[in-house]
Amino acid sequence: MSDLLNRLQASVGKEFVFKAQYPIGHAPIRQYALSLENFNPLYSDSAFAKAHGLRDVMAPPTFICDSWQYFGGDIDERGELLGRHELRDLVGLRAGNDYEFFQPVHPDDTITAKWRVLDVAVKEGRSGKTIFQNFEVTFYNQRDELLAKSIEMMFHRG
Amino acid sequence: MTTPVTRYYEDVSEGEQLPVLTRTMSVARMMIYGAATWDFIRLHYDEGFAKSKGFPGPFVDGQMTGGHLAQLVQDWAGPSAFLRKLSFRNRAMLFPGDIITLQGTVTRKWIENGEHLVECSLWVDNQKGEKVIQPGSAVVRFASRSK
Repeated sequence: MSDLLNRLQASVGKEFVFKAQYPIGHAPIRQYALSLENFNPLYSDSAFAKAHGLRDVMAPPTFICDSWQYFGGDIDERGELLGRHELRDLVGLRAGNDYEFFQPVHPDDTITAKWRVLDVAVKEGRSGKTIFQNFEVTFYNQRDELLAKSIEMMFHRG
Repeated sequence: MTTPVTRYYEDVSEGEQLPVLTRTMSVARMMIYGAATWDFIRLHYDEGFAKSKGFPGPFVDGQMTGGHLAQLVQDWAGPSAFLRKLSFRNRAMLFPGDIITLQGTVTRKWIENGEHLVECSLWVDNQKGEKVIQPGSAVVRFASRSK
């Protein structure tokens, strides 16, 4: 665990930038909504979305923060995307999220995600050591407009 | 779902309860979620792999419940409202077959920099009465009849 902790602590402050090669598209938005059993027409009916001031259907708000669609790479034997560096060195569980949304996300948006390691901490309890790792992720479109910000909180019990 | 209708800031009252949303976790939905989010980690669909890592079986990605919380809020707030913030802390793992109940209440409404904002407190319980999400909160920007 000390090797893992040393690697994680060395990653604090590092930033990793991932730029999508193509726009989000309509189908992934519909697929994400389907996974949530979410049939709000804002996500599937362009005419309905336009009638409510949008240029097309929008993605469910959390889509952009949940999806690694912008990433290009293979997976390893765990199913983990390869090449995410220290971002997934800690294969942990989710402690929570703080999201901030600045504008609707549409199928024609091409995403750039900037991941930064905020901090790493260790807490000792009755069940042993727990490592906490927090990230700040900012999402931009092809016009470099800020779409959303997410604070990701993960933990790992050693 | 019935066609959503616009809700205005003036229609919202502090103390108001959001309509309860209930969802049953299933491997099929978890698989769709994993595909949609490019999260192919086997812990979320491969029973043998999950058990080999010390878990009782495949478990739900904690962010998926965040997606359900956004749904709870957006469905209540209507299609002209915009979710500005969503925050949640995961307290319990979810597995296929678990049933979650998502609830919320309006805690505050105010106008800031011309935005008509409403804050909600949110929480999620499972079928055993355990807290799955607590605390949770959202801030929503509403349209106003005064504009």
